[in-house]
Parts: sequence; structure tokens; C-alpha cells
Amino acid sequence: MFEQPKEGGEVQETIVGADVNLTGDLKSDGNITVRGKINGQVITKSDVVIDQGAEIEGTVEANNVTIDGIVKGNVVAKEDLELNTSGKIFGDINAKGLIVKKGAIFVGNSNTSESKELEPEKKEKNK
Amino acid sequence: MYYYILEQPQSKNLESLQNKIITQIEDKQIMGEAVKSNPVQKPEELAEIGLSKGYNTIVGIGTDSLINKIAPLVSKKGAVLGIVPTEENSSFFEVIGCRNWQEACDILPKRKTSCIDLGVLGKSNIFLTYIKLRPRKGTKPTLAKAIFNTYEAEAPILEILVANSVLDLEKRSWKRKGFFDNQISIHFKTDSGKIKQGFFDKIFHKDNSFYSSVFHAEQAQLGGLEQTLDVVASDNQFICNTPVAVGILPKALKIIVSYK
Repeated sequence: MFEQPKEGGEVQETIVGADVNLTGDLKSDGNITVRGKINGQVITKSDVVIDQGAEIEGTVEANNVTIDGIVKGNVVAKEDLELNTSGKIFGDINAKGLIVKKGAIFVGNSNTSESKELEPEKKEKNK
Repeated sequence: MYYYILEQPQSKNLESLQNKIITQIEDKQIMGEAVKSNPVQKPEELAEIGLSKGYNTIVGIGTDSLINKIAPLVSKKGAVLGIVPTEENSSFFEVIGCRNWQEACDILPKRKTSCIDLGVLGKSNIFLTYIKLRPRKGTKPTLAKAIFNTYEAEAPILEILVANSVLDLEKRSWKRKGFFDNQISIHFKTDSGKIKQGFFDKIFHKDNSFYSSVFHAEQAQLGGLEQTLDVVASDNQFICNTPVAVGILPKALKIIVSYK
């Protein structure tokens, strides 16, 4: 027999598909994956992944933020902000930890409390 | 006593299974009255008859379609719904917490209940699992729009699925965690495999799910921007046309479950 499902036990993920044009403020408690275009704020208590090809014109606020697409607006991450090779941010960032990969574009001011080393695996090999 | 509603058997196998289920129920001494739907009496009409006779537990023995048809009436009367799925891959096994029809029969005598949400279409059209919105004309994606409380989403779709809870996008099966979430899930589905998947999509491993979307909300308004969409039930029965409002009725139906 199964265990009883817990009320609100699993926070649901919101996915904005590649074909979607979304206007307004997307607020959620769960993870958000963006593959389409959003004109407005993206706010969640969980994590946000902005895939390659996605474009957000507005503020992004989340626990962890991973960016492979484009954000034209401020980004606030309670924990880590990861800006990958294809990622672009045109706005200010505020994050506890910041990881910027080679090739990424960031135009704005940054405010971070921790800075993480890039590609620690390679450093280990050099020792 | 319980009121059992069965489907008119379309095959000897189903008739044999129905007989086995009834025998198991008789062995448990929880037999009340058993009725079978037929071309003259639909399952929902039989549920109405059972409820008017004063039965406060209606048990649906059959397909997901049968359960979906009788659930709204049971909810309206505040009665309890027992579920014995006859399809091996029924989405209701997850909901009641059983693996097969034998276990579904086993949990009936204890009558342990749990309240679940129901979806509502318009003002009074209730659904238990999901409804679908499809373009009326053609087989190509058409532009559709969903309006939520704080945002609007537009996309070309082949189908919009409005599910009461978390549905697995590909398998269309229930995920029990998060079942009581007071939200409906709205899935925009586009068959990109036929219309969009090009060279670059393949390189970047973009499959159908790349173009699919999932939104969660307490309520939404849905419609087609280029054409009217048909709203159909889980068994493809036509309900109405768009534009439509969808929402949730929290904890509106008591069902018999196995949960510890």
C-alpha cells in the first residue's frame, strides 16, 4: 500500500515553453524553467532556470538562478547565480554566490557576498 | 450499504472481470445493490438513482471514463465515492493508493476516506481528472491564450490539457505527491516533432517537451486567438466551446482510499 500523500508535499514546477510569449508577473513557490519570452517579473522561493533561447525583460528573483538565455533586468539570487557561456545579463545582480562562465556577457553592477572559483576541477588537476 | 455502478461489458474478458470483482465484494459482505449501465441508462443517471434511494456510498467499477462521469454527482450530494478501476493502467490506482483491482476491493469495507479537489469548468461543470481543449479546425497548431491572475501566456498549441493536480505530461498519469494542492495544472502541448523539429533542434536535443508548457493556478481563462477551441472530457466527449473559465473546488469529493 502507498503512503498518504502529504498536503502541499511537492511544490509544482512551472515551465514556460519555447513558443510561449508571457506578459505580466510570474510568481510561484516552485521551480520555474523559462524557454520562451517573458515581459515581466519572474519571482519564486525556489530556483529559476533560464534556458538558451529564452528572454526575460524584467526582474528575476529566486533562491538559485541559472542563466543560459538573456535577462534584461536585475537578478536577485538568495543563494547562487550561475551565468553560463551563452547567458547574458543586462542589469544589476545581487547574489550570495556568483559563477560566471567564459563567454558569458554581464553588463551592470554586481553585489555578492561570496565569490566562487571557476572550474575547480581543472585547478585540482594542476596540483 | 454500497451502490455499485458497472459499465456495460464490451467484451467477454471485461464481463469475466466484473464477475470476479462482484464475487470478491460479496465475499467481504459489503454488497448492496449493483447496476450496469446500458444504452438507455447512462452511468450518471444510475448514480442519480442510487443517491435518490439514499445510498451514501457509490462505488464505480470500471474505466476512468465511468468514474469521471459519476464523481460530480457524488460530490454534489456529499456522498462517498468508492473506486474499483478495471483498466490495468488506470490513473485512479495512484489516487486511491492501490496497485490493482483486488486491493481496490480490499479497501472498500473500511471506508477510510480522503477529500480531494475537483476541477470546475465554467460555473457548474465539474471534472475529476482532466479536460482537453483542441482546435476545431485542422491539425496544425493554433494560437491560444491563457489569462491568469498576474500574467497572460500565448502560444501555438495542438492541445491544452487542464488537469486537476499534477499529471505526468507524457504518460498522462497522476503523480500523487502534490495531489492536494488547490491548483489546476494547465499544459500547453505542441507537437514540435512534426512541425518544428529542425536541424538545430536535433543538435540541441530539443524534443516535444521543449515546446510544452506547464502553468499552475487557482483559476484561469482559456481561449483560442485564431479560432474557437473545442472543450472535451477525458473520454473525448464534447462539453463546450471556448472561451472558458477553469478553476478548482478544493476538497470537494470524498473518496475511499488505502492510505495508512
